[in-house]
Amino acid sequence: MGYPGGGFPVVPNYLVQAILVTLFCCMPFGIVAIVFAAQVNTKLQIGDYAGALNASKNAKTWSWVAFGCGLAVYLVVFAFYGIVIISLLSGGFPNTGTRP
Amino acid sequence: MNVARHGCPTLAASRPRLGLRLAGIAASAAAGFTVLRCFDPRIAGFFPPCPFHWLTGCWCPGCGSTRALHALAHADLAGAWRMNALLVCALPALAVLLTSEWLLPPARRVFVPPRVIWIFFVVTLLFWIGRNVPVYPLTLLAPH
Repeated sequence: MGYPGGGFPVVPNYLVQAILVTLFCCMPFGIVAIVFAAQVNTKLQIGDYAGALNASKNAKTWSWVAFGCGLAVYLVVFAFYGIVIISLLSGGFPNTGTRP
Repeated sequence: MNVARHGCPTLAASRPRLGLRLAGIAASAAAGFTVLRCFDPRIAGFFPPCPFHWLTGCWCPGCGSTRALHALAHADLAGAWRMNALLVCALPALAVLLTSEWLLPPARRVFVPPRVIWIFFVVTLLFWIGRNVPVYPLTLLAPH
């Protein structure tokens, strides 16, 4: 592509991260990240290095947004189970079961 | 960017850490496999639910992926396919890309042709729409 030494300059496209957050954080934002990952490679192929860097930055941002939202949901669920467990351990729900 | 132009020194420099990295990957994989094999996401409470499904009642492209991995950990390919066919299709590609990202220096990594990524994007969108259509052959795309 005319770069010194030949080959492509390295611009990460975060494709793996984008696919992982789409499939495991269940986040529509992950699909946005996939679009930017595709843009990175499209732009690299036509030699638009600046455009590729920009798309790379966006792919990274949206992967993190998707991951962050997924993590937030996980923490909320975890907190909910934590509250249930703590209330059970501290003798909550006194009307369930019999005490010796 | 020097990394891209001189692949060999990078490879040499990363050699000493390769063993450590491999050990880390193997340990994570073993831990993930154990958790997924021992705990059924349908029963165990600590697996995160899908926020999209919880909010909208619709399936997202990733719905069923944890159950699919649980099925795969039990060598149940058909079960995994019923939960999330897209994940089953994407896993081999993900394995190749992850291997490339973790073990190869940047200059030698797999370059996915943009057309392939665009096709994956369209397939993901169609899969997302398809699994929410309550008409027979398409209902097979939803976890069942």
